Amino acid sequence: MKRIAAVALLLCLIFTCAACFPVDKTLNGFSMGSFYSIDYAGSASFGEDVKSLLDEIERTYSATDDFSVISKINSAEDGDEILLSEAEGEVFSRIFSIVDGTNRTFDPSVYPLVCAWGFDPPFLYNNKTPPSEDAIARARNACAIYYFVLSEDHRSIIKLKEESKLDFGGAMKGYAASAVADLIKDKVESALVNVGGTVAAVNRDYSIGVECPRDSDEEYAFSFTLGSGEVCATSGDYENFYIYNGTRYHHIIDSFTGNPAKSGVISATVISEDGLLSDCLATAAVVAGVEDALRFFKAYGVKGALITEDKEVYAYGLTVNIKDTSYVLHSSEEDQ
Amino acid sequence: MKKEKEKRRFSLFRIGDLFILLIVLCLVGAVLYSVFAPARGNAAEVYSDGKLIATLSLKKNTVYELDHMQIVVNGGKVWVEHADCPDKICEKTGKIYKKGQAIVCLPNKIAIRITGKGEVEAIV
Amino acid sequence: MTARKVTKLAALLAVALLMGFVENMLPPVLPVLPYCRLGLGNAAILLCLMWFDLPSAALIAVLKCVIIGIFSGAPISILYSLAGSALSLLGTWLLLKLSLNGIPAISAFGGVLHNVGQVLVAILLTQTTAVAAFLVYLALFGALAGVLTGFIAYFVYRAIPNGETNDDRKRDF
Repeated sequence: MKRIAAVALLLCLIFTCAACFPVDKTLNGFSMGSFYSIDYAGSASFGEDVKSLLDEIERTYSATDDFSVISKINSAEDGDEILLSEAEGEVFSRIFSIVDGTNRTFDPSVYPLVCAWGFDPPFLYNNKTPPSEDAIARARNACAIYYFVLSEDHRSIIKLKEESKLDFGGAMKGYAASAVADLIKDKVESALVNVGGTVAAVNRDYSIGVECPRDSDEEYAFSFTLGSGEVCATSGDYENFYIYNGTRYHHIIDSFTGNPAKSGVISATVISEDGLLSDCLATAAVVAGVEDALRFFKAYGVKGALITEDKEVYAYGLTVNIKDTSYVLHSSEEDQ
Repeated sequence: MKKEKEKRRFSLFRIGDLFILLIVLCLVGAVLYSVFAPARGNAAEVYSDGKLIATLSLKKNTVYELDHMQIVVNGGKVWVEHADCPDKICEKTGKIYKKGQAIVCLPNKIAIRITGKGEVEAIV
Repeated sequence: MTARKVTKLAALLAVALLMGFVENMLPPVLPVLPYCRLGLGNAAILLCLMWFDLPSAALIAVLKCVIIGIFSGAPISILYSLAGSALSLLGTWLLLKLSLNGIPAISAFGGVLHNVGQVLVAILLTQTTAVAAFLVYLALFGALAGVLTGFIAYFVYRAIPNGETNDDRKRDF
């Protein structure tokens, strides 16, 4: 009996010590429609807090959550006014300002078109066919950011057209990554927060690789260093797509054409200290094309890299190491 | 009277278990291998006079010609096929393929280094 | 099929379902493989094979997969578990018939097949072979979990051989 007690005590001691030593650990979870994981060094426990934060963001901003403010707006009728909390108002105003600044290449009001093309969640891969011209035209009629009027104090929003709908999906992963990073930065030695592919570096730099947008022998196309405090968001036509009759139809819809964006840019990576901004600009870059995207990067003072369908990589403000040598690097004059 | 050995319909262990055990041991071996396997390299970086002049993927069989030597990549390994240096140490180094291994030719100021997987901490 | 047999099958199914639901509620055993569970419900299926025959066990297995799939809110999982169960059931029945192995070993074999079946379906559905990388770990885990369920099934069988308790034998309706 004494021996068992001794062994048990020893095990407890070992586990306690293990818990105290900063060791590389990972925390996983599922929220906001995808996996999230945090690789961290440190011994604090914040799993519950992170999960509730992410769940709260989803409850508030998800287009598929029936009680979210987005759903309330989407199901509202002409002329309805929906009240926003201070936090929500701030998010709305930031997003609307980015819509303006990117010349509507990032446009959350494109949701009716996204649905028409079949990319509203849950996205099932099989048997997707492109919508008819009519369906596209009808959806396009409902897509315009002007159908949503945000009040001066950002505390309410008026919807002018019943069929119009908003979807903040192209922005919320970045917002969430930033929020989680802020939450845990005082609790860990260092961490890499990954929310559905958008990553935030906490307390130290991390080396990040960007996936090849098409099949490749390499694990990633290029790598770069994500500085401490920065958030990196990547958008591409390879994330959600289906192929019909040899043509690829993907989920980033160009509000000007009503079709999936075909600007030449098939993958955009944006790095900044504001996760929401990174996410929005990455989506905008895919729609806008190389020239305009680089202009946006410069205007917003962010760093980024674009991959075009011709396998060219344009880096802005970022030192990029090509891994898959079939991609050719073009650095802009402003790069470090 | 001789007692017959009771023949149960089902038992805890029988002779065939050795076969199952073999399968399980193979699985354990496979798991241990994937976890602890030597880090195979993915690419060979070629430096001339300290400057990176080429990155050759180990997955593509290539022949890379330089002024003074010929580098061959085949079957995931890289080596110097022939060089015009006097001692031919680079040729004699043979084939390298593991992360961190290198071939150096001092007279020609060429260095070939294997860079491995897992260079990045996350892929997005 | 007698009323007695139906009742017994129903009881086995109930146990299998209960195990399945409880396991789903618990946090994953291995964080890297979130949907990998102990599969204690398979002890009930194995017992069914030991007490009865393949068709009965197949019936319970199918019902178990469908019901758990519906109630866990992920109908797609029915496809995965049916594939895994089918392969596992066939292999287990075969070994049971051959009578060359002990019960825990048979169950381990079934566990491996179960996970192999699921991975195969995953590869077919997602059209990529990336899932195959996990196969070794899943197979090993399945084997070990199978040993556990095998032991459970064996000792239950010892206690209640032929699916009948002493009380059953005494009464005769």
